[in-house]
Amino acid sequence: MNMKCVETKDSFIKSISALSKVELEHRCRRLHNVLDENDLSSSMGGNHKGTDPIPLVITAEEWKTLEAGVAQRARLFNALANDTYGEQSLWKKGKLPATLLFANPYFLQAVWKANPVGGIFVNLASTDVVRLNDDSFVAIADHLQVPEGLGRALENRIGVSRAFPELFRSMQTERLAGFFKKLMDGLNAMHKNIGGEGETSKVVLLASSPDNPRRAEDAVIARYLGIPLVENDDLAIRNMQVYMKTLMGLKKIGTIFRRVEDGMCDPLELRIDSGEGAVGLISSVRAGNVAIANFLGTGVLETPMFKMFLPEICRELLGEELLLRDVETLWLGNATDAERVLAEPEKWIFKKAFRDEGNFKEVEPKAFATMTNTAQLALLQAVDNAPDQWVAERSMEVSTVYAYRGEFTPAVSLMRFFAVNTTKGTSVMPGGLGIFKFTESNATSAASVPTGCTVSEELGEKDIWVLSENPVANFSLLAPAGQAITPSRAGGDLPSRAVENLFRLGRALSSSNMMARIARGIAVRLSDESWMDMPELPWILKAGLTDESQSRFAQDPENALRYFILRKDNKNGMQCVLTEIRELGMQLRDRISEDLWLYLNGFGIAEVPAGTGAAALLPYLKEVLSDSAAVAGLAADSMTRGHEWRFLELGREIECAIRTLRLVKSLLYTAPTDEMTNLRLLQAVLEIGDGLMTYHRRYGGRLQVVPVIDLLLSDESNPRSVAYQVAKLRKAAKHLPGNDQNETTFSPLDRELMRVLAELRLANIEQLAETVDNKRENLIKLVETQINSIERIAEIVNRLYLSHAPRAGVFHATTTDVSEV
Amino acid sequence: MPIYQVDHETVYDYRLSVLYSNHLAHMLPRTVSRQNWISHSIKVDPNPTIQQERLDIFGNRVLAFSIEQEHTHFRFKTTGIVDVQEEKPPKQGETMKWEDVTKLLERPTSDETLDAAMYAYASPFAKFDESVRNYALESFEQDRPIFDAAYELMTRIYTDCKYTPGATRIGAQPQEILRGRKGVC
Repeated sequence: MNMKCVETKDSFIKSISALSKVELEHRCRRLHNVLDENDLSSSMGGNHKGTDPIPLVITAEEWKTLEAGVAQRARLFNALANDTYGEQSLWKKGKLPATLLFANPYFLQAVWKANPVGGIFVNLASTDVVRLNDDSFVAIADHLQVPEGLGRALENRIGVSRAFPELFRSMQTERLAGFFKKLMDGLNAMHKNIGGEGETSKVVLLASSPDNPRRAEDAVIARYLGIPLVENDDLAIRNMQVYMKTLMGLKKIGTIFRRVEDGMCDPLELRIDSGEGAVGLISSVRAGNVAIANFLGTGVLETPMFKMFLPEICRELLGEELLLRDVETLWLGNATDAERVLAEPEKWIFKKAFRDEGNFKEVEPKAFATMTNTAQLALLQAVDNAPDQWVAERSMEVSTVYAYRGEFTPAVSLMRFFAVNTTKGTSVMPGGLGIFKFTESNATSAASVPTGCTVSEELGEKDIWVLSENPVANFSLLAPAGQAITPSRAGGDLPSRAVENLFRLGRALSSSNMMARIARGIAVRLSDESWMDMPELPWILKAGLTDESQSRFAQDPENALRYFILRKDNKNGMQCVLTEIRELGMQLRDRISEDLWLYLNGFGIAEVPAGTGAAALLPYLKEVLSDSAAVAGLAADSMTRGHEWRFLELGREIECAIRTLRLVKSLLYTAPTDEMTNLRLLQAVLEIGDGLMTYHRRYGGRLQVVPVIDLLLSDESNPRSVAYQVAKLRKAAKHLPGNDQNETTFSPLDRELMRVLAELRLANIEQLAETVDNKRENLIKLVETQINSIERIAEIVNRLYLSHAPRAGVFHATTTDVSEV
Repeated sequence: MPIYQVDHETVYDYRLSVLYSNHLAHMLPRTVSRQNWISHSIKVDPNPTIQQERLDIFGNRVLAFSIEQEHTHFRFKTTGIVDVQEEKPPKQGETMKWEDVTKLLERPTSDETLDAAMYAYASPFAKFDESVRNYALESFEQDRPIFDAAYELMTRIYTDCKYTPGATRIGAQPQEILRGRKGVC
């Protein structure tokens, strides 16, 4: 059965109308398979369900107009940025109102008179264009600081061209790769221009935060351009130079291709409250030590209020007439314009003149005609209160396109085009991202044209095919499928952030494990009716719960325990650690196996215990402990024994050693005079320290303090002992960069580890068990020294490999690559 | 022609040691028509590893610097010597009506008017507030010469608000100062 014919002059639709419905459905499946396969993160997968198989087709003739118009706008906004942050000649000549600068939260005072490399503020620009019923084109928005959709356009192209390979070729569709090459060449040229040597300095992509919907696209772009994706925490600024923290040391960065908004780049001079960005970045940029694209402050160019002045700005700055006109826009701060708009408000769409600070999504435009009466009145009131805060855009009749959902269905669509400015000129990507929405009727206004880039359920995406008059050369940045990959076991430039997350995860896992075991020790005892008579209980409570929760529930240990286990707002409670584990899991999404990720995702999320009584808490604690065992097992089974695994282990061992030492300190510091209490304490410390089984096997039922201390501290065959952890730490540390234990001199990390281990091995347990005034002072002295030493080890690991703090002599990391074992 | 020496010292003691830090200091005297800068010295302890001086949009001299050694104590001291000249204020009744100035600043046409316009808007650190506006408006009667109105406003602020060290913090908004009728700077 052939598809129902639709009346169209679109050459693509004419061609596929000849296909059978079965064949077309088959092509759609192929498209979605390609998209799923290429998609980095499954969390992004949902977006691509909305990619339509039918591209928007632009003829060579139309493209000439569009290309010239989009390129001119890219040049124009670059010139406007130069004037805005430099001479401000447009204002000094009275062409623009002062409001545009000084009432505009996106005009960054901190960027004033800063000079971007080659005078280029806007390296990558994008313009949203709609086609009107008379086939003319109108610009409805420009995106000039972090243009979204470039990566999605790329993915859609890969998908749609593979679904219709024969049409893609026969229609002579222009390729996108050349554009990406120009973008990359531009980025590379930037740091060469500021004296960065190609060998030592890198181009990096500074990605948006992991929870940002744009993040998956950032990963696509970084992969396609072949540059490392970094986050804020990967950056270190030393001596006004910007570096990337890697496990192998600091690597110099030449150009930052940023995907984060202006305000998030430098908390020292931009948004202090953001807490994001690299502190001191602006100074580094001003010192000419690092290039950044797009340059800081370009957000101001997106101010809707600039639109109505663009024809004049274009004449003034470029000496040209504006080629691609904007939708008619009026500023209501101007009395005559306001009068005109308010005379027939139904013909206009109302927008805020400036975007709200801190709100990066554009404020929802309000189409007067489609609003309820109450909303209309409220809008008119808001406009009346502060007319200078509003602009009005003329609503337009947009031409319809077809999208496929079982049959050809009319839709309205905008086309987003991209352009790069380099010192060699401006280029427009021959293609782009179509964003469409199904319409119920043919008559539609621009208000219903999607302006945002967030893909919601009702929005879909389209590829844009620009047809060439000549055959198109075959050129791609994707590695050919046949190209051989050389096997390698090294991890490359492993960013410190990734290993830091694993290190923290290791520590959090051990914390949660010990917390749950202490809590279980308390809950088990409280479930006994005679808990009031248990002499060891106060000590265990003290070992597990903080002073704060104890004093809050002095006479009520059960509620203190509940507060410790369940309350999310208890900063020292178990839930905080469980939340941290889940959050770290989210951030480690692309570094751990799917199974491990799923376990971390649900870590400690079990049914909240119903009912009262401490016994009700036991099943929950059991869940937490079994999650912890499952994660340890999965990690051991699925993680490659490289640095990532090593740091997870380091974290677990360090935290386990510290927690065991603290447990020993809390329960064995005092030696009670009555034998009963003494025995019950020994029993408790073995039970919580997970040594009861081993103890009974070795010594039978007789509990004595010397073998208990030996088992928990010095016994290297007990996987819960402190000595076991330290021995493992030393083994793992051997493989860390710059810590080769075969060298004649010992690294500070190794020295510290050896000292701790020797202390444990040489400890005279009988002496440790001695008491003075019922206190085991020797034991406590050793335990406290050990805690300090191990915390110092954690600090050394952190400084050497994770934070890369400036070194004061003793700390020293090599930057030579160390192959992994 | 009095010559002043202006000393300013800031000392921080940190509870935990700071491994490295970046700073931005707006503490250098500037040259304007009635003030001539003679000399200044800056002492920073610990010693910065790198520093950079620039002008901000208001014409203030900004010093950016980094300290890259572990420290728990930070001291910043400037000593500036400036020569302050007397400048005759405009005569009463001889300046433009303030409403005319407002119109001029809405659409500046020169360096001077653009520069002045900057101060007619809220800044990222001092936001617009109705109570502050009403307080100021009392001095800005209809058709009043701008200098007369501004002079009266300054005098009122000087007499109404008390200089009280510690009364406000760095992030304080104008309305907070107005509410308490006291502030630092």
